[in-house]
Amino acid sequence: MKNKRYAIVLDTKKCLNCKACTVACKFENFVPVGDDTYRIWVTELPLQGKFPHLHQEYQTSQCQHCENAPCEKVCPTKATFTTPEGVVLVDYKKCILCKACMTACPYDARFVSEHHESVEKCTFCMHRVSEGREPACVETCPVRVREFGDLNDPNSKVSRLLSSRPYLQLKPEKNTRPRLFYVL
Amino acid sequence: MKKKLMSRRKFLGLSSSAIAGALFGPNLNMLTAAPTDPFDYSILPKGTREYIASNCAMCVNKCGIIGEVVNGKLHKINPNPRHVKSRGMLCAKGNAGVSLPYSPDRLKTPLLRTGKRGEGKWKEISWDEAFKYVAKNLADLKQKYENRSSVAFASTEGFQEEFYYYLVNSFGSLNTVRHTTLCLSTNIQGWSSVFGSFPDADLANAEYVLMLGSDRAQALITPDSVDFQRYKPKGQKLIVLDPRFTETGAKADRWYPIKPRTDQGFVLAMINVIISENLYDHKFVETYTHGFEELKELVAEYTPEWAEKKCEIAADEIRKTAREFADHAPRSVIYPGRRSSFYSHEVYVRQTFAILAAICGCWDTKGAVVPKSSIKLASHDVMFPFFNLTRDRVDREAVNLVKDVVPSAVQCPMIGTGLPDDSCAFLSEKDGSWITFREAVLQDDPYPVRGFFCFKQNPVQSVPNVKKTMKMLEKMEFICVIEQQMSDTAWYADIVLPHSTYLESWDPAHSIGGIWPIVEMRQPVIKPLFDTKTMFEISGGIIHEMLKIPSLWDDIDPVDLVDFKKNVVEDILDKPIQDYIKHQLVNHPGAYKQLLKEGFYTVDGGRPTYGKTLKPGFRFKSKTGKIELFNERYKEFGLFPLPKYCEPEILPDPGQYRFLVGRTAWNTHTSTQNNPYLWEIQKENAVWLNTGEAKKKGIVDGEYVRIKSKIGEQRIKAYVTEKIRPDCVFYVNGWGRKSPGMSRAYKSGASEAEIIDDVLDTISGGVCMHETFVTIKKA
Amino acid sequence: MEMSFESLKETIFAQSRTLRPGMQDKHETSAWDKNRLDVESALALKNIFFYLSLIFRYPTEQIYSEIAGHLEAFTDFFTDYGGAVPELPPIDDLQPEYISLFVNNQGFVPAAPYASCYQGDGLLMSDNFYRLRQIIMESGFMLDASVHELEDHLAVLLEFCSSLLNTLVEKNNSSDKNLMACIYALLEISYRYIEPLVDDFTDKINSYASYDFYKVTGKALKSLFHDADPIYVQLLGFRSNSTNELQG
Repeated sequence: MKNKRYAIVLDTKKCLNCKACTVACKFENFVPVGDDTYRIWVTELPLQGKFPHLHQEYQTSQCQHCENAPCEKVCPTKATFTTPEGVVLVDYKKCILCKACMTACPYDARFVSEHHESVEKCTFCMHRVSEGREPACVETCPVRVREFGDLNDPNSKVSRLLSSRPYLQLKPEKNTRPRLFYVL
Repeated sequence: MKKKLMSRRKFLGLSSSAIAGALFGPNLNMLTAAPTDPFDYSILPKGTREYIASNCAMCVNKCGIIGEVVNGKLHKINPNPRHVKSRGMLCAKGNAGVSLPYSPDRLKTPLLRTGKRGEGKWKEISWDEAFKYVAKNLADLKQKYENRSSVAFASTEGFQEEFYYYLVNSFGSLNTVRHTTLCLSTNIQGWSSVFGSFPDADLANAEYVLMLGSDRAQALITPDSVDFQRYKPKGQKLIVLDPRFTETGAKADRWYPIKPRTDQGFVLAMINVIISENLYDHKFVETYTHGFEELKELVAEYTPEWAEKKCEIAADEIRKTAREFADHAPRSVIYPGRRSSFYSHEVYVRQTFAILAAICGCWDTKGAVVPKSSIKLASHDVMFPFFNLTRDRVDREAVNLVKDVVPSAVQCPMIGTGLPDDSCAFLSEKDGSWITFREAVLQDDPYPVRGFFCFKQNPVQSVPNVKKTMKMLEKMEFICVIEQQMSDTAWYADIVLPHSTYLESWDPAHSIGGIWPIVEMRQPVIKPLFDTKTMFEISGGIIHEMLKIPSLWDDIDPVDLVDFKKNVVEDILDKPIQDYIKHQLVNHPGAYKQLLKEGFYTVDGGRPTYGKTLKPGFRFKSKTGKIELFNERYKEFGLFPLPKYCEPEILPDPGQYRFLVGRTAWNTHTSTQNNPYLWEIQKENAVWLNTGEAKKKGIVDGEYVRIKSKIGEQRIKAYVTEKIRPDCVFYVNGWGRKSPGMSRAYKSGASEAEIIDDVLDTISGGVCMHETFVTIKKA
Repeated sequence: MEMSFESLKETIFAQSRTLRPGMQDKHETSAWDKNRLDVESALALKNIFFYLSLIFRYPTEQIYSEIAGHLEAFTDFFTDYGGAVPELPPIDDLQPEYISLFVNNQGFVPAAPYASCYQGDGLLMSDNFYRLRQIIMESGFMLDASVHELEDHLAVLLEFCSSLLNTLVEKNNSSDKNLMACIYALLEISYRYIEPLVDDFTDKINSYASYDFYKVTGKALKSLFHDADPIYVQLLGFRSNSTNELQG
């Protein structure tokens, strides 16, 4: 039995910019109210064109769960680690709040959490996944921008999406090899 | 060192006094000895997680939710993945519902005003005292004015509203006023004038979707907001017409920045093209419709070239859209949407939409506009007494109401030709018309209204022209507000009764019509935190006190009273609400269990049924029994039987902009801005101003401006953008609140109720929120 | 080796903020030395807590007359801790004042009297809430069925502290092993529920109050809890690393 390789595939062209995912994440993961505390976010990409020929997209994002994770490398206490499934997690007890990982992360995906007294970020909702439930952001989305699943399973939605559609990844020049894929 | 010595002195001071002196009276303890045998741990969390199905109430959609309760506390609201209507989604508001029961700002106990109105002096009273007080005031008003309709009852939709009507009907007032005329009354009226009912759109199966003035990506409606991106068939085309480039426009294959108030012209020209190019559905028109020849004659002049001048959209584009629409028919949708409180001729706009659907046969078939189906629930055969001292509604009884009572509201020269001038032609019995109602109350015409009940509505913020609403409240001798939070309206009440949140209460079963009809119910996800009650309990409590006052029952047949006590009070209000629900579901075996488990119930697995209105012998709700392209009743009423184009008669002065209002996906009208999890998404609203216009005025993005209309002025941040036409400005509703206590929304941004003029649609009684012109200057 | 006050406090803060299994089991080994309790001070503090509890309840006629009737007995306390003796407005003014500060104002509550509101996202029944409910139950108390309040309402917390002190005094001469649990409860309520509230709470009162009554009583509450260390050291007879001189 092969290991699972978890990933999220995003079809952000469908995104309504409704912010359901960001609020769901806050409650699910005890993320405090505040502009600087968030695990996931929705960005309005710049408006293109001139009136009346306009185009705009919205981009949801979060920790990229990089296979080559800069945050993990700089962590002096090994608080940040990667699970066998490829999920990058923080052991809150080991974190000494040095914030080196926050500086190292090219995606600005980490913040200091009062609740956990630690630097934290998206966990792919592993506590839900282990119970057979989907990550909160995946589940709550009206239009299903995100799909979560196992790249090692060729029949998973994520595998099928990636084999049928072109995709890109954020900041490829950083050579981080993210587990988030944006289909075009 | 010094500090410690201070402490010591204080501490010794403490022990020297206060020991013997303090012999407190008896019965002062809030805590009592816990029972030890057996030790009752029931109030302690079970240390487990429970998942409880119910339905959301953060807006009107009632999406399926599953409350995740950890150790007795609601940790998260998850969407119900199996829910037929919401399709397994839950929006930002629905997620933020978790904080509703836990908000320290919520009302916790009945409050009675002790100072002047609006001064903010209250005392706590018990529910018994509250019920007595309300009943006594009802009796006093009835005695004084000898007219039960002297007390008005405002409310908004929601599962508990039916119990509010138990109170209304037990008192016997006909003056009820609901949110409908602030929202979609023109839409219902316009579509019904053609098809006899207000339909839904089958976005999950349509090949071609034309949306005018609906921002489904932000003003979320389930299932439409889900279907229009997630379940749209491959190749579906979406055409959006809106003066703003909205999130919906961003998803469109084509976005047309239509000149505001000219949507009717665009659709009339489409009809012109479809008829003149012989693209309409001959068989459908012949079989089901009435008045095609008259329609053909009417639209002959409405060519795309004519429309181009009105709408500022190229004739060729209109022609192309018309051809595409007809080409994809019957899987073409002209989207009915929801809120339509836009313009004074809005009923005709919606009639025009419906006619386009009709001539292309886009009706009651897969991928078209489809009449709602619904699952029938058993109703309680409730007979309320017939009261002699009840007069007809104020907004109907007034003679020449429109001309005499609402002159300010009717600014449209069409009055007398296409719009009625004596009264609202098709006023809904139950909904009333907010603007006409308020005006009649202000002028005591035809009789005084001096009592006001308000259940979960906030007219101070939601009805345009707040100054008039305040004057109306001033006239009242008694105001009772039933609410969850101290709303702007509750603040001016004499008594405020705290309602439980939707997460703490049992709500009756409710049949929700649609292409995918369902029944919903609510059960408590958590125990109530405070001494709050539901409308079911509140109506029961007040009615019991009313029964103790003989003068409240002296204008009815005594036999009626006996029946009322037995059938309404004993058999319904005195029984547990679960009995009421079980009776509603008596014809659906297993439904109650299913509702407890899933929060919703469907028949036939919730599959849509198409074509029931197309069967031989079906009569549409119209005079001819057919789909009326020519409306015979409108003709009788002196209205336009055909959708004649209505020119925008109220024109802006130079330098003025038309004001538009709308919503975002993270707030519901005026009720959610103080929720911390939603506030952090948006902290104030901003007025959209076209880049070119801003440049002319030297206004830069993010700076504060003053926006001024005939009735008021507001200060607001400017959002300078290409996403709006140069001739209009826009902001979202619900901001710039009167309550300093809506700490997050207070004076943040601008309120629409402060600047929107009270213009009236005199067919359905709806308000027209886009008939206001404003100027903008640097603050 | 006897535990110092500081290490005792540390133990309390080190405990989880969520539920714990069986508090009694944990402390039953540490028996209580009856000679250590300063009974007079305990009684005084018990009464002060109870009087403050009355003050931060809605002033019904009964509560109001209790507040009015005993104000004189607490003159020294208020002078020392509140800087003045609070002037009690007529009940018809105090009731609306109470509501506008602590229950409902125009759309909000200025000084929510709930411990939860001063932690986390500011909402009711935060993480610590069920732990509190557990502490109260395990100490042998529960909210009276007629009381529609949450256990972390300031008035309930203060009454609970008062009751705990009462238990300490009453059972002082017995060898009840649970007395140590009682002390843990008292300190935990004081330091983890009341003390974190007092600063913000009194600031809010000062911004929104129309009368001085709650300003002065709020200040007394705040100063009392800022002074909690030396008070508890003396009262409970603990060895202290820093406040020993109080014993003298």
